[in-house]
Amino acid sequence: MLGNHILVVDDEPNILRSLTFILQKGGYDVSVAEDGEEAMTKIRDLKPSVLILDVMMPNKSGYDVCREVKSDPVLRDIHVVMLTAQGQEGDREVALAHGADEYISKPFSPIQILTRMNELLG
Amino acid sequence: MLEARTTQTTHAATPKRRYIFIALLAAAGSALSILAFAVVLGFERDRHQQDFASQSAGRIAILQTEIDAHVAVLHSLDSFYSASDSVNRQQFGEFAKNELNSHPMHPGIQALEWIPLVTKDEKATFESAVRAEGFANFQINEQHPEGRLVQAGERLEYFPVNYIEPYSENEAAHGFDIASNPSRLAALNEARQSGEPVATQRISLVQEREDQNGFLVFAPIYQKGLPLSTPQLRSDALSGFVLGVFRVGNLVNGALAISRSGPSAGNYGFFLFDRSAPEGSQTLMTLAGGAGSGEIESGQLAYTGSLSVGNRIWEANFTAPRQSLLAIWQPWSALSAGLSLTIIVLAYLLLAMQRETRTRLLVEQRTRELSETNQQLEEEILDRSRVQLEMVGLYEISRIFSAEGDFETKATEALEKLAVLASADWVTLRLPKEDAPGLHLVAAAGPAVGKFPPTQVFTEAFTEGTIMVIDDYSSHATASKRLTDLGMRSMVILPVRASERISGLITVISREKRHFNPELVALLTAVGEGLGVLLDNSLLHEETERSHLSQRRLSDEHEVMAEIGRVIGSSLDMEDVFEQFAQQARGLIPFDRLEITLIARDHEYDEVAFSTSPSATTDETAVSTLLDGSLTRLVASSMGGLIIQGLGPEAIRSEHPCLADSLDAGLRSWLIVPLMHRDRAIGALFIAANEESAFNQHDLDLAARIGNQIASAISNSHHYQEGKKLEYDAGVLANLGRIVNSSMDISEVYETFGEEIQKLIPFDRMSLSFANYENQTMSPTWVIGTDVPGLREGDAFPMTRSLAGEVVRTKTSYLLEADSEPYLELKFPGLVPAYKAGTVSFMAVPLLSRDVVIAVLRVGSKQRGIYTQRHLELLERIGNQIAGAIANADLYAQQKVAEDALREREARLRGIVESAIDGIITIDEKGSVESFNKGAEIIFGYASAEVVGNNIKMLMPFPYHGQHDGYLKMFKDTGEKRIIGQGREVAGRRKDNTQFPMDLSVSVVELVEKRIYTGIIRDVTESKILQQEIEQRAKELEKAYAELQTLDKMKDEFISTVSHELRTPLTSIKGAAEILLNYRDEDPATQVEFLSIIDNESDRLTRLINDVLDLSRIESGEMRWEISQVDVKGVIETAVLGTQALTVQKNVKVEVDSVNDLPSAIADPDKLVQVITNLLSNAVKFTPNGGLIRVQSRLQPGPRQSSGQRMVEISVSDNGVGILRTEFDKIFGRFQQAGTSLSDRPQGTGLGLAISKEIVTHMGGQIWVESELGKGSTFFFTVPTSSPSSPVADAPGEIKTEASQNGNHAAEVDQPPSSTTVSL
Repeated sequence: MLGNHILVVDDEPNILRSLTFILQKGGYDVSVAEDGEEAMTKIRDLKPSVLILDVMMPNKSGYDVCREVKSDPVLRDIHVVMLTAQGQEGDREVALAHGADEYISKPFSPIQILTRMNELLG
Repeated sequence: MLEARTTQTTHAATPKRRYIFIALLAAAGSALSILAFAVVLGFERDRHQQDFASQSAGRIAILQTEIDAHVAVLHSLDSFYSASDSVNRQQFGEFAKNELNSHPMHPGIQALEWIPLVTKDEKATFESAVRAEGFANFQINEQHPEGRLVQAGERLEYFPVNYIEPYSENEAAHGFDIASNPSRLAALNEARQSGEPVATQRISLVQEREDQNGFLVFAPIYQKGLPLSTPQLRSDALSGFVLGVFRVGNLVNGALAISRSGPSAGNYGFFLFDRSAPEGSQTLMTLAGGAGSGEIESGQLAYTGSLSVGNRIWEANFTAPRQSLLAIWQPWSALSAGLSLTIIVLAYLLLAMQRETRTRLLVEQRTRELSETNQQLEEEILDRSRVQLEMVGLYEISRIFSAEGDFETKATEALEKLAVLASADWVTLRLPKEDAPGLHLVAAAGPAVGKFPPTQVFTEAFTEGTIMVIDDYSSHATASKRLTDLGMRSMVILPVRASERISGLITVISREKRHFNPELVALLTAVGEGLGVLLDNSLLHEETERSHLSQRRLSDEHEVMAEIGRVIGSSLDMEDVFEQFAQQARGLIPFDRLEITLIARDHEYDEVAFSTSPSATTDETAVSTLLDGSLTRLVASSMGGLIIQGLGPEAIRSEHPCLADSLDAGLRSWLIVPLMHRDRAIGALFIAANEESAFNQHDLDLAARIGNQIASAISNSHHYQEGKKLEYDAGVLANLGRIVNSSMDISEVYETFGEEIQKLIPFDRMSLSFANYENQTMSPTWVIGTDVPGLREGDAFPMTRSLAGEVVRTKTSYLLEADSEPYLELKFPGLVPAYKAGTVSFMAVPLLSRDVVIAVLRVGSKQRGIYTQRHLELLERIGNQIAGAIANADLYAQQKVAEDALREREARLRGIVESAIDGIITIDEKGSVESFNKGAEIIFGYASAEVVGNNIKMLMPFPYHGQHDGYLKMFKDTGEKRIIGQGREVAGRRKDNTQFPMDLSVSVVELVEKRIYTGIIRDVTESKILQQEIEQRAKELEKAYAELQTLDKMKDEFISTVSHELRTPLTSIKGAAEILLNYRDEDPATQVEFLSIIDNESDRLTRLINDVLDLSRIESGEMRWEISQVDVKGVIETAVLGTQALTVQKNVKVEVDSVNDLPSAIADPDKLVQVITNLLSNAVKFTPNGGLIRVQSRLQPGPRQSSGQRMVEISVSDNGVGILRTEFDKIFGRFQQAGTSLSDRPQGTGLGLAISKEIVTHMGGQIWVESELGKGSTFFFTVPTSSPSSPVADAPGEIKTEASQNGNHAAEVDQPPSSTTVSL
């Protein structure tokens, strides 16, 4: 059984807000980060169970963060869910190639994410 | 040249005169220098004299002054006495000391003394008074003649020295009575009476220690109040004297020391004397060898001046040695300068002369060179004209060739021309003769050399087929003495080729040793070729002619032969027969003597049976000669004829002694044939002629036949029938000959021929079959008589195992009797059908043409044993006649065909070349154009005549022009090819000097002894242009395609990015909406929060969509533009107001600076506002809270270069983080945002700058950014103004507009210079 700490990383504050709200309502412990670097710091500090990660971010892209997490023996077990807004064919393959466990494209339903989290962590 | 020589002589005389001139100049220069020396010397001497005199006078003046100064001391004392009532010793001492001390420069003063007048009565008193003063031993004394001082004698008056200053050194004088010394007394008295100071003559001072003269000056002191107007009154009033004791040496030395600083200080002699003194005591002082005027040596400079000392006159004499010549430098310098100048001038003149000589030599050399060049040019011109002559000659020769006439005439004419062309003395054409060995002269020009048989070189050249050019024949290895004796010195031997083999020889011989240059040799070669062709034709012609002739001759001969036969057959009296025969034979072979010898029965001797020379028969020894070694025996044994001729008489005599007689009789040529009868020689026929080389092979053949006839006649003299038969045969043969000659077409005469042959040879069947070597078959073409199947005209039968085939193979005649069919079957199966048809006797003879069997003539008879050897011979002769006729016809036909073919080929070639579109040019080995076709004329624009004969280079542009000769030469020398054999694109030059690209292919044609190059040229200008156009199009297409691809990729990327950008706000909206839907029980604040998110993100989505639409509208040209005159300041205000919400939110201050009188811009005002708004909102985003944004506008200095229009520049500055230089271009791209802060992200679409750039560019302006990291960025853009050509000076006053934070925007912007700040 995994813990219930989720780190949500996105540079869009409104998206962060929605996700945080819903996941907190679902009883999860939620932290946020607004860019890749902040994300890495918080991942190392908080060691979340699940990482919900936007791809297009300044400083360090979601792909880079994901690769870093997955190549770190301590962090590699963190479940990574990639959020992308490009909606192009092949995005999924790219995300999985970078080591992501799951892939959800924007626009997504926050409820759906909560459901997914419940499956994963509940 | 003559002129040059004359000039040379003139020049030769000049240097001598020049040298005399220079010598004179040298003498004059030296004389002038010496004169200058003398003048300067004199002048310098005078100057020295004057210098010396003035120096001396100066010194005398100084001396006088010094003396006066010394004497003046006495005047002071005098005055002192006059001023005092009485002067005591102390007073005197003080005054005098004072005087002396105040005159330190008076070294001549030894002492100043006071000498009172003491009368005899006063003497004692005086002496005691002085003693009382402390001088205990004082007494008035005088000098004893021995020198010591003694008590003064008794006198009326005494003048004792009383006061002395300085006393020391002078104490000896104290008390000395001056009056005791006569010279002193004399002066004393004079002074006493005159009242003036008086000097003594020279004296020895009492106190003197050195050897110096001294003198005294007495100044009288009178008692006060007494009259002094007369000497007596003065004498009475005297109270004493003030005395100055002077030392001459010290005085003079002191005075002269002052002046001893002159240029010649110390170098003079000085002599001072007192002329008023008695002789012997005049000399006062002598210095440095000084002498009196009388003692002055000659050459010495001297100056004498007088000095007054008291009442005395002294004379001072200065002398100086005259300066030696050497010591005076000026004249010497004048001399040396003069001489130097002279030498320099001389040296210059000599140099100039040398240079002139050199120049002259150079001019001469150049003249020589020029004349040489001229000569070369002349030679070249000669060469050219020679070449021209040669060309003309060649042309004439070729005309000769093409003219009508027989070969010999043409050849002779050609050779004559050739002789002129080649300046040769002998020119010959030699050809081999078929019937005689060696080469024979055919045609010649110049003195005939033909009588000489060809020499070794000729034969060599002929057999080897090489051109021999012998410049010096006499030194040639195989030189013939006979030719060199004739004066032949050089030659060209040129083989003539006809029918592709060497057919003759041209010799061109000259009396001079000379060089036959290659051009000439080439020319000769050309003539040789011409002659070859001519010869070819002529040979053909001649051969035809000869065939005709031989036919004719044959028939003539036959007639004669027949006559001979008749003669021989007409009588059995041999003597008579021989006589007549000889007469007939003369018609066939001209001779001077004819003899018939017969071999005697015992075969030991031969005897002359007949001779045209009567003596020969009578001479017993000659009549019968031993058979061994005789010519009769020789021909009899060899059964062949013999011609003896062309040998020297001696050789004949030694080789053939039996001919000695006839040799003596003047005979030189002999023709001996055996008389053959039935394969046996029965005697010999001798035919002799006086002429050298009178006989030929034909004669020999003829003679052989005659011999045979004679033999027959002899052996069958009684066979009259046979003689008759012979006569008949001969008649028929003659007839046949005539028939053959009557037509060129043999088939026309076959019928007649057959009938005639029938008269000689009985036959049942006769056929003429031609040999077909290819198929190895025989084709009967003419058959008469018995018809045999398979052997009809038009049939063919194999050569093998047929009689005709056998004849073809063996080239011999056959006479055959068929005994049985099996025999024939075995030997000649081909004859079996004929045999079956009844033919049993056969004869077959070959028809030979050039030693090849062309056909077989066969006769057959059904009678057995009908044919004899005679018939066979007859048939052979008939066969020969037919063969000749066929050969003639063939030759004629061949010649015609060959001529036609040649003509046709030439015409065809010419047609091809002329009609070719491509240019065809031929050049020779030197590059001279030989032909230039129509195509080339069109391509190059030159007419053929303009180019032919010129160098091909004229068709080549620089730099190929200069290289072509080299290429040709290189190819000639090394065989290295550049273009030959392969096509290549090169540049050509047209007549109008334009260049064009052309394809050139060159081939080499090797002719005999020369090479020509054929170039085929195609102008590829147009195809090149086309090619370039195609390439250009291809490039353009490629570029367009690449652009399209880029655009496509950009579009894809754009769509992808837009999709991303649209999804982001959508996600937020969807998330918020879901929350609101699913969590309805949340507090109102949360609900409002999520509703606001939806609201904001919807706005963002709208903005984004608007921006994307804007961008695509601008790009697709669908955007509506409302261009008008726009007030820039107004637009800025609108934008500032529009962004107020943002600025207020972030507490950012906006400052607007504008220039007064800014002209209005030509733009779409709304778009302008959009651009400024974009820039402002960007600035707000990147400016920290409470930061400052400045909006500035100004007129750009100077009009824009491209349009001449002036631009308004608007800038928006922030003091934010700044932008990296590398990002400057990037940020104007789509969805590109600079910086790292993303807190404002929802407000931006990332398209603002891209849209702004599109707008500004569309309105004709530019947009750019300047930035420094950490200090902020400034975005600039420009828009055109309404006043393109009237530059508005930048107004000095800037406006600062200030607006209140509440948006109370001040409208004072139009009121300069009031400055306001907009605080937002």
